[in-house]
Amino acid sequence: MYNETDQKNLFNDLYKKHAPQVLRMCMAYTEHTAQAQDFMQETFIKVWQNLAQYRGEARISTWIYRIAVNTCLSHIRSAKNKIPDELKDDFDQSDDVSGVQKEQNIRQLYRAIHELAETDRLIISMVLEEIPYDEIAATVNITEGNLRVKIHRIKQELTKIFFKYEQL
Amino acid sequence: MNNFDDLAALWKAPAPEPLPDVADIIKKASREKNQVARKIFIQSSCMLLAIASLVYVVCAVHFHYFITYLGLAMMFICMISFAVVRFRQSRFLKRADFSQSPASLLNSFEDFHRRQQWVNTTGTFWYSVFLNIAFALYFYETVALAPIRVGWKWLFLAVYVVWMLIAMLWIGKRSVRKEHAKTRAIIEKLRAIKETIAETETH
Repeated sequence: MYNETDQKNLFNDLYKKHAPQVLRMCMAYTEHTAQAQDFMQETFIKVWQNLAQYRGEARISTWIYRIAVNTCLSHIRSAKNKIPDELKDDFDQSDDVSGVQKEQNIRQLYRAIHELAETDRLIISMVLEEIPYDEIAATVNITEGNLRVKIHRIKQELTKIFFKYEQL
Repeated sequence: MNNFDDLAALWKAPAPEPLPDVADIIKKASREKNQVARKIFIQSSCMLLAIASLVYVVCAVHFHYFITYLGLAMMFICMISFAVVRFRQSRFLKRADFSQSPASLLNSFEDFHRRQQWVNTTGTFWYSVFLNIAFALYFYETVALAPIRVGWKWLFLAVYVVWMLIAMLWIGKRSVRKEHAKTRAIIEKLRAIKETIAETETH
């Protein structure tokens, strides 16, 4: 149990440490930056509201990623997931604007990730964030053995999609 | 660039996106929690006020008939039962751990939904019957035998019946519909997550 000041300090630390990772995970999940930011905020709102209930059974980072994964996945097949036109910015439009090769490659990477299945997007973003495999397995509730097989397949698929775009 | 390691390097290349201020997140989270807390506070205050009024009536007024006290006792039981059910429901929602596996969270929400359906159908039916019997017993002495004109008695009865019909058939049903819609939305989301994870496992 924490008092309010402890909780605020802990939350601050967690936010500084994990928010950038969670945001990148959300950006891998949805192709709209504004929506990714909404998902990230929703994740940390849940983290704040449930921090007192965190029982330490899993690592706190695993606990946060799980909330992030559940938050992202809960928006699938939801009617609320229709993107308002004003949010339709980001990768598609900026393609023509940027001339920098690196930026194009980054956009291409995100576009390739968005072609993967929903859970695969989240798994690969955690792999790219170098989150340990046992933690990823705990986050998505699958065995580590199963996860390794899956990661191998996703890496191959992602590389194939990415370089397919590069050839175009 | 020709392999996955190049993609991993690329992933870390962009400058980090600006993050919303942490204070804004805390403010938003607290606002949501305060809304729920305010709702619970208002409901609890109303309940306490009703119980206090009931206790005041029992202490201040000397009734001649046993059935009047019986009516008041039944009202008291109804209020307590209602409060206990509401308290248990809100405690479940407050304690729901959205970081646990979707499958186990789904099971607990499905259980909760089954109990909620029982409360809102069978439970509410017996609650209404019990409460109306309680009012009937109480009003026998305070209204039916009271030294007032018959016209007033009929008017009182009509107002009571109309109010009960509005409360049960309109306000009650609307609130039940809202509650069920919320629970179903959560269950549907959890089912979608569970199915997505199951699909991933089979690939």
